[in-house]
Amino acid sequence: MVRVEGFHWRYPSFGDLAENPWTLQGIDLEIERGEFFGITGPSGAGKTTTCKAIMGIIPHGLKIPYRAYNHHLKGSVWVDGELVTGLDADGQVVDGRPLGALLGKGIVAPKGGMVLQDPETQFLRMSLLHEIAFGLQLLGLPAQEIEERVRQALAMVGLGDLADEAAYIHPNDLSGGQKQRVAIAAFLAMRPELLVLDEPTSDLDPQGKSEVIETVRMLHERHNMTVVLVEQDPEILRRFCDRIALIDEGRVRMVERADDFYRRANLLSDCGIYRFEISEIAAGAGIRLGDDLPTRIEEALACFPLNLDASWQPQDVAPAGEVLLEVRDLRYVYEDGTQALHGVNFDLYRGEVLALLGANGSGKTTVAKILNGIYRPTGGTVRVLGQDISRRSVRSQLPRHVGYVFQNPDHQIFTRRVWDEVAYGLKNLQVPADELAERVQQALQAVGLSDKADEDPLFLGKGQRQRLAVASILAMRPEIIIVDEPTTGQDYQMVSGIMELLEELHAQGNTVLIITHDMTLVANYCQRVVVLLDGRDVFSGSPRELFSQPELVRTTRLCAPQAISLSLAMRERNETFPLLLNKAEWLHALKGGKYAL
Amino acid sequence: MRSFLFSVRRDSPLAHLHVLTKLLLVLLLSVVIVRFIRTDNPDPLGATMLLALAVLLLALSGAMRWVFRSYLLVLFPALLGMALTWVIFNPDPGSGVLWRIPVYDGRIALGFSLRLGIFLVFAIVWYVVRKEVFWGLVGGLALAAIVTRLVGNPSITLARFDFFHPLAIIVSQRNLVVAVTKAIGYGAMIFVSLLLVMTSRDIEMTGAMRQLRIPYVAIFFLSTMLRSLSMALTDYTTIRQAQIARGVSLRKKNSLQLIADLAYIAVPLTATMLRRSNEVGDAVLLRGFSMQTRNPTEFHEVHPFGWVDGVVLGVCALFVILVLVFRLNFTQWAGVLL
Amino acid sequence: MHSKAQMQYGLKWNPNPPLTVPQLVAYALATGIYTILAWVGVIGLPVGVAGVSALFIAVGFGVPFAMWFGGWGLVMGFIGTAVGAGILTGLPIPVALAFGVGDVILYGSLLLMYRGLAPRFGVDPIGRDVFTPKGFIFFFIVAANLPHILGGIYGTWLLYTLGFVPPEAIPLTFSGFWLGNVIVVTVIAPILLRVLGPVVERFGLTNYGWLT
Repeated sequence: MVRVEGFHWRYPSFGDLAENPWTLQGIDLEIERGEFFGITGPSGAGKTTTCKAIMGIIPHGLKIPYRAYNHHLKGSVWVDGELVTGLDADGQVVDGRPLGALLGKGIVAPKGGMVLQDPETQFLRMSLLHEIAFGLQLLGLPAQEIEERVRQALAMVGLGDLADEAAYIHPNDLSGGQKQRVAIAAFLAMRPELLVLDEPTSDLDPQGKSEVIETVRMLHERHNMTVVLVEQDPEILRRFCDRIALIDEGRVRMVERADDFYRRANLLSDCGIYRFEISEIAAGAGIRLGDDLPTRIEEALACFPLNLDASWQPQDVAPAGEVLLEVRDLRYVYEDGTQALHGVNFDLYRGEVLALLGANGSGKTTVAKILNGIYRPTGGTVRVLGQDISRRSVRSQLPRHVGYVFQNPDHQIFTRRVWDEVAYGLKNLQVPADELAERVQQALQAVGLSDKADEDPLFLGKGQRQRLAVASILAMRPEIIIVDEPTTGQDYQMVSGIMELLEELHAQGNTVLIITHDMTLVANYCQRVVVLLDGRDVFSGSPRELFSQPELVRTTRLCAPQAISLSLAMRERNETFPLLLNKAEWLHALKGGKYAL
Repeated sequence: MRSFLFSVRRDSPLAHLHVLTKLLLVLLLSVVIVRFIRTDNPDPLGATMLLALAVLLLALSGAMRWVFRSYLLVLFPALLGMALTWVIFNPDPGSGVLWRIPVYDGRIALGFSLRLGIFLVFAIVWYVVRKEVFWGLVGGLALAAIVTRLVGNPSITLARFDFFHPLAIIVSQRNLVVAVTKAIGYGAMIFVSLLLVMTSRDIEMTGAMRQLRIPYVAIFFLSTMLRSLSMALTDYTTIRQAQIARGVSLRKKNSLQLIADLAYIAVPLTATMLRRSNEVGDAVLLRGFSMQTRNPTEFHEVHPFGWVDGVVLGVCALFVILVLVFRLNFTQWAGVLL
Repeated sequence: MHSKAQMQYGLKWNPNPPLTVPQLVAYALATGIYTILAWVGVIGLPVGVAGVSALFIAVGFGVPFAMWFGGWGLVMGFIGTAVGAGILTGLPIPVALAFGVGDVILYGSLLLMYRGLAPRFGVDPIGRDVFTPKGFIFFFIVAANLPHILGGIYGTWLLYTLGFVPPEAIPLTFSGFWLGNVIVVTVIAPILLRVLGPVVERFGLTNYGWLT
């Protein structure tokens, strides 16, 4: 179905800048018709670029300076036996020099479709009906047929109940998961034979993720569609894909059957790819299932020791010390009348890392913005450092004491130099010049960006921009740092970097409130969690207490990490088995206490 | 249902009108209002009737809540400013002057006076302490007026010369009527315009443009722009909040500093736009749109012209003819003496 | 366009064809941004003189947009002013549309003067040198003053013709237009030109002529 042969690609540069490096350095891929093919790799590896090349957007949708194609691409791309992109290197001779002639059919639509990462930006029209009909209108189909296909497509993605009102449903009325399903429906209506999904779940909560992937799986099974899925989550890739390709530094490093892919531990580790927590534990403890590392809980049950030294039971440390934040019966109503919070209660102690969990729309970000002084509470009491924030004079000064790192780093970059960016907040605080310089240096050092002080923030990598955002708040030295979903859309290496940073912040005595969907992060780094559901707190306690209650995890639409899920499975066979929360505790237990926690 | 940035009842009277009808209605009524607010022959009753009609139609559409929530702070100062402008800058004595305040005697004196000194000192001190210009000026004027009224205004004049002509604020029955009519008329024009904005959807605009045979590429441009408005507004709101989180509102700022803060918002806003435009561009290409797209199938976009449109336009045209051609003045017709 | 020497900023109609879909989309999104900034500028800082906003914040963004995007800057100016600062802030539609035309005159004259005269005076045609003495003086005269005199004349005439401004208030109204724009453009535009100009150029979105 898809054949990519020796494909090289370099993005054009404009202005007086030097050439960009080659993003793709010889991609070779073959995808069979009807196959569910996975692609994974670190950020910047070339996964999205490869997908765009398969779809023909690269290069046919771009403007190449001077039409010098030889300078930007090599190789060929074929879809369903048709040349999508090719290059005649000797063509287009100008001033005696061949610039290269572009060959190929061009963009693959409607035979192929591609769902992008951001559910918001690919929703092109202002009603659900017209969004799905757009591609069909462009095909020139009769209105009656468009009507039928729209209804069918909505039904196929589980949104059939919205069909009657589709003309009046605005994108803002839909959740992220629903918008991604609409994007899939928009292509399904065009009856593609190939569907490419580029990290379609990275911006979604666990429930949204599940909705989208189940939809895709069902479509693949029922319609024998060829699916290419770019993902980071090993659980999703292993569960759904026939084969998985690893792309790194613009090349295909490996293509394997899904089960075998995650047994290549060394290569995955070298490339900074997510592995199963169980595999990491097994690798650390020297446990094997035959010759391979286990990846599933069933496999781990077969090879992990059932009887461990029961004298060591991991303990959770109860919160103690000064209470920096008291939230009692917090309520909030938006301007349009929507009540986002119905009564939230929790405390935050000095020096702890507290996770605020919940599905999208549960009110987590609303709570964070109230704590930072952006929103005024509608009801209830919030005390920050003993002061009631319902008073405007207190609220206006909250940014001094409560730092808030937003989810999207692009929303909080205001200058064109890393140094200036960190100094921006300090200037607002009217910090004297010599102290300002010292604080900026310290903050950049803390996040590992000291050598980037003169760089342009807009052109740093996403992980670096996220660190810069943390540094900008860190320099202001707030008592409390709120970090909103710092690992969303990040690859394994970036997530590890963020986690190390959080650990560093905690070790330095900072108090951190983190909003996240990453349960492994919670299990590894947070002392306590608060779970919100529909604007109320439904749980407050340690991660261990939370994840050991499967029913609670299910009703709050969360997902327990593999480490504790394995513990619970072990407990079903041996009730004295310790409840081990994360990799460190597992290794400590497996090595007889010889692994430092 | 949502209309541009707001929402309106689906069964409201205006929802059944074609968007071009609504546009013509707005333009024709605006021409009529310009006639009503003429300085030489104001028609406050006519302006009030149109204002009431517009408010009634907005209320029936369920849009009044949105109007006041979104525009309250802008509407009333604008109307008050309009009225004051016509009182201050329209020295028409009419049939009788109610109040006359000389403001300028037609000559400029270079020198120094107690009044000037008090005014300058107060304004400067106020700015240094409170970082405000407007209240400093107002306070300075008031204090200077009070003090010099009590103790007189000793001054030293170095030179004096003629410049422009003497000015006085004249409040007369005539210019009050003109000022009020201008304000009501302007308000009516605003509410009439809001009728279109509040009760129309982007898809109606797209359909109307297709009926007018505007090239599809232009239609696509406009519909993409309209779709991007809500994204841009969300981004702006988040960025502004991020600025607050970085302490931008921790201290009082003057107008120039506030303007500069707004400039700094443009950096992340534009960066976000650049990243979004890549993705939106890809999404559009993937659906099959190209610069050669000419005439896609029309699908629930075009609203046919109905008899209601014809009736509304006919009544409106008649009204325009009565006012513009036959110079109907409702105030005079009703026998209201001004 | 086949050589780097030909890739100069100027006033040709279509020096780098074709206009692509991603470019069209980018200009549509930029128009949306400008519209929102125009709206925010009026709502956030309503300083009224003789019935209009004396500090029209959006012009501070419109000047760089016109300098970067060529003819598309005029489209952005028209739509942004008519819709963002006009219709969405409660300005009557005919007035909003007429003011939009005023901004087309303003940004059109700006583009003609800036790109036309920049080579002659040895300054950068998209304002990358705005913080140098020569660059700033040129900018202050050609971008922050002259076009706004034209725009002020048109705007004042419009308000007078529609009967919103009495004859006695014409000097004040014109001064408000002109000086208000000078202040806003001088504060905002250099920041954007210096900070964002290289970014916009690097994304390949600056226009070398009117259309492309």
